[in-house]
Amino acid sequence: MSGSVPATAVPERPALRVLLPAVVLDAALLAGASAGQAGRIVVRADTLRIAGRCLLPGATVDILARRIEFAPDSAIDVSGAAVAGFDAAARDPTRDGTAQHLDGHQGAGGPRGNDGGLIRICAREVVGTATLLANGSAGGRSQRGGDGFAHVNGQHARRDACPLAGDMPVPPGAVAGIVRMLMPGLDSYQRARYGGHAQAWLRFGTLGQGGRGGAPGRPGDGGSGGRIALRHATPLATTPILAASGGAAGQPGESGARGEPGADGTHVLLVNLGHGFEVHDIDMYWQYELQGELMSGLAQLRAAAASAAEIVAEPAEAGRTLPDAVSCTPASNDELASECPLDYLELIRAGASRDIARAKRSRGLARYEWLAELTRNATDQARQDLHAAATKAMAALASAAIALPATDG
Amino acid sequence: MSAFPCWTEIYPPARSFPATQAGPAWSVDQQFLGGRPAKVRDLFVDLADVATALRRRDDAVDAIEIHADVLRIGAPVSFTAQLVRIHVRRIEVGCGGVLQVEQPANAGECALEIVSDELVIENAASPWISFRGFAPQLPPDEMSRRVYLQCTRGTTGDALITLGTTDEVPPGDGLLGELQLLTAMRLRHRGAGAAPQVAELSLRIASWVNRSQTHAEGDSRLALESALLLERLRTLRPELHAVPSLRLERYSHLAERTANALRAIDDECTHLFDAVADIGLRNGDAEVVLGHYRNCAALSQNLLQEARRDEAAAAAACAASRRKLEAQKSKLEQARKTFQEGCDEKTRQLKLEAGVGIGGAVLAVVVGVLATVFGSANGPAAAAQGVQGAATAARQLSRLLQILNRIWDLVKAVRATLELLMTAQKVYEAVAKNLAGRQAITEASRLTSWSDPASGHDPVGVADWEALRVEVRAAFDEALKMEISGATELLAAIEVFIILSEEAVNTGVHQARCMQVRLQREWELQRDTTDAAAVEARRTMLGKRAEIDRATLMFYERIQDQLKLQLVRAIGNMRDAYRYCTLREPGFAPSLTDSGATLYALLASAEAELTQFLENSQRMSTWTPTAYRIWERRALDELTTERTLSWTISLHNYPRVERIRISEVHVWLVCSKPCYRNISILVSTPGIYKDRTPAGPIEFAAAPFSSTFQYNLLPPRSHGDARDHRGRSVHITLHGDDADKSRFEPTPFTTWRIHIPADLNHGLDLADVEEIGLEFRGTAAGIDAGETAGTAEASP
Repeated sequence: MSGSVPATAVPERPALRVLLPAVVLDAALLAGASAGQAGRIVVRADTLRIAGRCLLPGATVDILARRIEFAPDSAIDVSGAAVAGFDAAARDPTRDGTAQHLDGHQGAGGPRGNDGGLIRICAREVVGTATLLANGSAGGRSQRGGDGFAHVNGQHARRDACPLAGDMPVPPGAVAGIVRMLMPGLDSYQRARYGGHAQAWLRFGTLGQGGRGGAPGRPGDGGSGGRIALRHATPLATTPILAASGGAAGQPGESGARGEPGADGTHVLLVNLGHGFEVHDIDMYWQYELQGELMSGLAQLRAAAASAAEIVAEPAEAGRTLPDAVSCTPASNDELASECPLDYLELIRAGASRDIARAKRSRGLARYEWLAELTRNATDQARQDLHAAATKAMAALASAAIALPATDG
Repeated sequence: MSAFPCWTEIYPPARSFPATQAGPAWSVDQQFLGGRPAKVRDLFVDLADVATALRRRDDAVDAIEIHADVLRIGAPVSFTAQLVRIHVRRIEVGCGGVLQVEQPANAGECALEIVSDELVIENAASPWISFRGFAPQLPPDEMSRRVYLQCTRGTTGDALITLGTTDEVPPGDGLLGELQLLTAMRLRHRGAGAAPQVAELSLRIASWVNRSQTHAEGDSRLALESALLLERLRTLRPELHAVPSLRLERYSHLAERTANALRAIDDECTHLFDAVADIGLRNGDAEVVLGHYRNCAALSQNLLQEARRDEAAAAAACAASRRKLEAQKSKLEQARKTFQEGCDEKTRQLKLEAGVGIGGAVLAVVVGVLATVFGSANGPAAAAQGVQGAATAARQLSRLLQILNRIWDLVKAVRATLELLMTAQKVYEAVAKNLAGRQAITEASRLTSWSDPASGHDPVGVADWEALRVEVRAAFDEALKMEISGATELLAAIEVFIILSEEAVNTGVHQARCMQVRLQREWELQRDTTDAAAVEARRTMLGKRAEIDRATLMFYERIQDQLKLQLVRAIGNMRDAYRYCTLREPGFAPSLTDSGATLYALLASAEAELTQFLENSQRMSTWTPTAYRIWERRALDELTTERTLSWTISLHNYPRVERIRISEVHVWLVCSKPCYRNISILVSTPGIYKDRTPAGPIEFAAAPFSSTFQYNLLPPRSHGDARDHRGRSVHITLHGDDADKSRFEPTPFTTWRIHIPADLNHGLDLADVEEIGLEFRGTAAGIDAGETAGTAEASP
């Protein structure tokens, strides 16, 4: 059949079958009920009334009924559940730039949108405007990028200085090198005694620009659209509203803020000459000559701080819309009959019998007719028996109608 | 604003289910707060209150049972439980009211069972049940008595929701059933001013309890109690006032005695309930109540024996009446055949007449025409002769038309008569069915049909018999005028048949009443015996504990109610007796909801009212009207052929006296030939008596009267000297005990039936009877105005 939907794999969510003579799918009642958690809902009923917008995100809804009535502004909506992306402005400090890596880190990617579910409806009669929705949900918003490294000022830098003896590790953000002593008033002996080998490190944080803001993460891709198949025996009075498109791509988060540039603060020099030299402010001993590696490191750090190239966020993709996602086709009785399990047919017969007993003649007759149509070409004995029972009951009702006018509407 | 009644005001309060300020009665019940399943039991339950109370429980509840008379669902209420069972008589769903049932997370299955009789929904379009989010459409007109919604795990592990509906009513809670019946009785005896729907309510409650308890698993004692209550409620016939079998004075005396008994226990019960509230009930208190129960059981035993005697007498009368009716049926058939032959004979005769008439007419016309033709040729005389002949022929043709009309009338008469016979046959079948239906109630096992209103067989009323009688006479007028052979006999047979049918029905009704009383007594004995045992068992269990459970409390309330009910019935009997005695509507109406003190005051006021009436009304004096002398040929013929004479005294016969009550009736035969012998006469009435009130005629239903007596037939004397006959009188008694003067006395306004049984009067030729005397003796008011007796000519 053209509108058939291949059976999808049963999801992990529980399945729920409903076999009732007449049932209402009410959005308000369904909202807080456990039925909303079911991954697959199978409804077999004589009459079904849809009231309100019944949300069953991503579920598979399989309905078979003699008559389905859509109340005004009602719908069955199995669209993918909206995903919760990142807050557009929320900061994540772990993604901020550091003294070693001044630029902020890229934000995390947004979650993917959920896929739409599946709706299969087979009915003899559909009343009202059938509104069936199985769209994929939009992708989630990505995370905001981390902020660039913001330099601390010179006063804070001084706190890094401390008296040290012997070799010492190079602190983060500093460049180690040899300092040549150019202190005036020292003779060669003294220079030889106190100079010669001096180790120093320099911290240039106060010199550079702030880090660049990190790029937002990649937004989530849209969820794929589901499928809708509406099959009806009698022509529809109104055009149904069927939608099963892919979800839109997610929105990107904001970029990280650029770090604050460092103010020109004190350059700290730590000198360790092995003879208990103390910490000096480099400005006070400017005559010390920075050797090559220190000079080149300083240049390198300055160049890195000065980089201001833009970081561009990565775009996401919209969800896919399946080919032949939506179909609304007339169905023959045989096709409808192939959808009917035996317990459903028994239910229809019991309902019709009850109707006749309760003088609901018109509805009883309609139910018997439906039963007769569904079992007309039956091959198994049970269905043939049901057909015979329905035909016999209809004949009896017809003769009674000739004898006495119907008492009910 | 809700359109539903305020049930808390409608239901009389029950002391054993005390409602507290804190919440509904059941919410303080430990059984609910800690029980498994959590069980709610009350006359009126609001579902929202149940949900609130459930939240007060410490632990989760997996099963909830709600037993109520009325359940209100006024707002969305959600239960998460494996089983929610609702057994109520009536469900009221307000706008927005929804019962939501959710399955617990760890439960594999879940069910919602609703058993109810009546569903009222303010907004029928919106669903009122939500089972795991699905709402089965159950509007009131499609709601079955039992609805079972179930969610099970299938073989594949999928959950499956199904709906089972039947009209079967599984039994409800026994304690609630007791409470419902107590309420129904209280509502029934609410007294004057009660709205009509309240009377209907007690019937509905009793019917519901009966319907649920007649289930195979139901409580047979409750089923029987509800069935008896139902029968009492259904047989209320407000248009026909009952006459209790005793005189007013006796009822007054009995009521006083009952009041004393109630007074004795009333204080104790009040003390008990106060004690429960204050210090708790003790073993000694239970001992006191147990003593009352034992006394009640002994009293019930005595009452049962009396009821059995009454029933046996009534059954014998009914059986005799039915035998007579059966015999009359065959006579009726014979009369019908005779009449049919008479009709055939008459038809043949008329056809012959018609044939002769037509022949003569045609011949005369031909002769006339010929004479005219030839007369005109032969002279004026011949012509005149011809004209005369033609005129004669025209007259004969007219006569012919008349005959044809008579034939048509005959056909109509025969048809009407045969239809009447069919009507009589239907009446007979109705009578038989009625009696059979009444017989069936003796089978206590067949209680199911009691709750079905369609199975009630309404007895044929007095008006029905009268209408049939008029119809018969009107239909036979034509046949009698045409002098069809057998018409008179058939008419007599039909009239006798009607009288016998009426009698059979009335004796049947009386027998049914006796059966009802006997069943009531049997049940009361059974109840009292069982209750005494139950109270004893409870007393043993009670030990030294101060706390008692609610079921025990109900026993205390019941014993008080039983006595109060007896007093209410006694005053009710006084009302009936008062109405019959004074022909006024009594101003005192007892109610079961009245306190004991109110009932004592009512009793005193009833006696004061009676005293005042007797002082102010016309004086009652001896009433001895002139005897009826019945010599009408038709009546005597009926006596000759049927050995029975029926004589109806209408209200017009004694227009100037009031409140006539008969204590004796005298009957005698006057024969044309000397006949000195004993004669046995049966005098009976159908049990329906009429009288006059200021507001118009009134009918009373009482036990049919029937009595046989013997006397010596003396030689005929002058009609005015008839009272000299000795030994020809019979006292009006209902049970054959002439000495018992406490029984009620009938009015003369009924159909008196005089029967001369052939088996008791061998050799008596009734053709010799030329007159029947019928004379009443009794009391009446307004004698001073003067009264002349009716005569046969003046009688109806």
